[in-house]
Amino acid sequence: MKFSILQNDLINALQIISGVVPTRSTTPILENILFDLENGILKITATDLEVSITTEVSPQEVDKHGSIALPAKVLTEMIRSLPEIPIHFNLDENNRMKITTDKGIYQIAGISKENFPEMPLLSNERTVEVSSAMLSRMFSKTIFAVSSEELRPALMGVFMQIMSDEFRMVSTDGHRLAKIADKSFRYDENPIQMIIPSKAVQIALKNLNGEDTIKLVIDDNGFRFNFPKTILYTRLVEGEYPDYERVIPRDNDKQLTVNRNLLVSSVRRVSLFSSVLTHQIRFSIKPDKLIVCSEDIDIGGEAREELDVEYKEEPMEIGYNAQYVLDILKQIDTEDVIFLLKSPVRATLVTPMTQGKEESFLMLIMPIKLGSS
Amino acid sequence: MERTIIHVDMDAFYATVEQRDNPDFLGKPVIVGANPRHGRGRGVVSTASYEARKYGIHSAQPISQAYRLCPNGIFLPVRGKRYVHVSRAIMAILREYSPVVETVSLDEAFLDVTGTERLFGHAEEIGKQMKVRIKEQERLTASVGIGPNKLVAKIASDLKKPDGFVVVGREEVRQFLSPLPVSRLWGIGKKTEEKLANLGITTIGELALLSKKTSQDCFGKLGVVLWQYAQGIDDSPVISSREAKSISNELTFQKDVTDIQVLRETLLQLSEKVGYRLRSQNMVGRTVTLKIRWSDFSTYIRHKTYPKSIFMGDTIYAGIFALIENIDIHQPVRLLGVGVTQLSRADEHQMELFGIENGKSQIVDETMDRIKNKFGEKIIGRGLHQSGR
Repeated sequence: MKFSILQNDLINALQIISGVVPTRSTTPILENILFDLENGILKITATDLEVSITTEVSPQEVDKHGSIALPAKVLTEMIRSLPEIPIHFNLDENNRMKITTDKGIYQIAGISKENFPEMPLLSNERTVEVSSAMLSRMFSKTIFAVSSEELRPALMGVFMQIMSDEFRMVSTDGHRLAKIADKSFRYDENPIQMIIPSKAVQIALKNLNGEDTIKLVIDDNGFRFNFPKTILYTRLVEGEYPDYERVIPRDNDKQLTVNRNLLVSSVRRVSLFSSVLTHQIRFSIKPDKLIVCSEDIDIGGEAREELDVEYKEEPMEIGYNAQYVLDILKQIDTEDVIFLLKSPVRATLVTPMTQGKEESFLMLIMPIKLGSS
Repeated sequence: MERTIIHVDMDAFYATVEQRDNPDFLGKPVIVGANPRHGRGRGVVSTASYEARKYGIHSAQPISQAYRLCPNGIFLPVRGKRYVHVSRAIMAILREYSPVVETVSLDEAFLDVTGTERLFGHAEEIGKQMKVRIKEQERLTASVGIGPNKLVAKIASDLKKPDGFVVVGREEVRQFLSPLPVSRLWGIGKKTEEKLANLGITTIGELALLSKKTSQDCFGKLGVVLWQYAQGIDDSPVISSREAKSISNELTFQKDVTDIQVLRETLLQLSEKVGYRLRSQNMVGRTVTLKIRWSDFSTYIRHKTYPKSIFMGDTIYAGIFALIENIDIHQPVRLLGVGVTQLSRADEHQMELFGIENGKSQIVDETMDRIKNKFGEKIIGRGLHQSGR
């Protein structure tokens, strides 16, 4: 294997895949990335066995084809710290990679390709073509509510539902929930649903830019994104996704409308005085008035802010985790946000002031039950 | 910043509470702890009154030995609730003098009074006032130590017990510590003490003369800490704690146990007791703790933390079961303990969208709680399948 490549081209490719490399693995080979030079194209692959990614880059000059796995961390750090100059790679018969630039000569030991896990093949695959912008928007609106708790693995991913007349994503960690749907979407075959691990979603989000449409290739166990120069493969999260429709309230008839930015600032300031353990804040809602307050009995702090809002119903006191409120408000693109309430012990429904065209977006936040005092 | 720390330590707390509550016990040797069963009892002494200490009785001593030393002593069971009640009243007094009160146990607390002089006068004045207040209000005596850090304050409070009052100024620290035996320092157990004695070091002053490096070479990481302590240096902060930090239950076996089934059944009972106490105090917790004391008195402690609050006997036991499954029961067990920490108020909790916590198990616990509240805690409990689950 012998080739020359521009520093800028190589580091861009490495940055695309580096998010997949596990920082510490019980399988040391996974801390490597695979270089595969074929037909004048360099393919770079990383995998953690759940998520795999391959990206292509064109070297300036190719002298000899070949393949080798190289330690990801040292290679990426080294390439990143070089200026924009050509880099020459030359692999010897003992799997040692010699890297030469104007600055000097570096050598690292590689591992032969046979030891590197292969990218899984899909069987009985089905292909769905979707708009990149839509996919990106839906992922970014749902990823925040994905659970990181291993006790309920099914919640550790974004639930994607491809239906005949709707493309939908849902995420929840049991305390909040996000559901977004594109109603302009059409699909003629049998509906598909799957849980995509959050790591794959994060990496997909980084690669979802520019292109108009993207091909999703799906089988029973896995799922592949075909980006123009990059292929991202992920295994699916096993398990049954909970019946989320059941917990979306239909009769929350008390509407609170408030300016999003003002509420974000208030919650942020007030939450500084809440307990670090619970982040508990209190919404005291009165006709056209919202009081956001908190107290931390341990350090003896308390805070209270008043906001002008639109609210016509009877007064209500409701507790929330401030972090959850901020996460949800971050997803709102409109100037005002709507809170639909029923009671302090029932889920609150949060939506933007107006929905996008052919879009339906809602979020739920489960309150903190307040004490009797 | 230069700090002023006060350590308040109640004198023979459980025993003096008993003497105060029952004037017949005044001036007599009172031993609070396990049932001595005429010298055959197991378990240990919790607290001995000063009268009992004259017989050589001290806390953590086997109750059987205490009985032999003073068979005519007044042996009393531990009345936990009573002491908690009295302790709360005392801590409330302390909190009037500083917002930063760290309760170490029912009878012991640190106060950081740095900067409160303007409000209450000098630390010395505060210490004296607190003692008077505790005496007048609760008819109990406390020993108070004042120093520039927790270590010095604690050693000071211990020095003139009972009813002690020792103030150590910033400049007097080295001089104050120097003649004291090394065992007064935190972190020095029997073994370290022996090791130091072999080096010819018995006092803190002698330890302070060692170089930091020598101390580190001899005792590793501990060496650096010990060296600092010997210089009177301790930066650990006073951490205020308002609520009880843990709810736990222990059982000392009448006879050491090796049978895993007996151990599991005991752990289930202890888990249920802890769950019941959590619920009756309207608390929930996040971490379960398993404590095993082996027949050679060495103690083994393991924790498991849940992402969600727990308050039910069987959830606590599930955690305990997972912990004990990974333990090699290599010698007979003398004592078992189950505890729950990271507590918070049960009536203030993050609710669940999918409401998984209201299962069958909770109904069982709620029903049992009603029965227990009516007929007593021992009336009903869960049984165990042979598998231990």
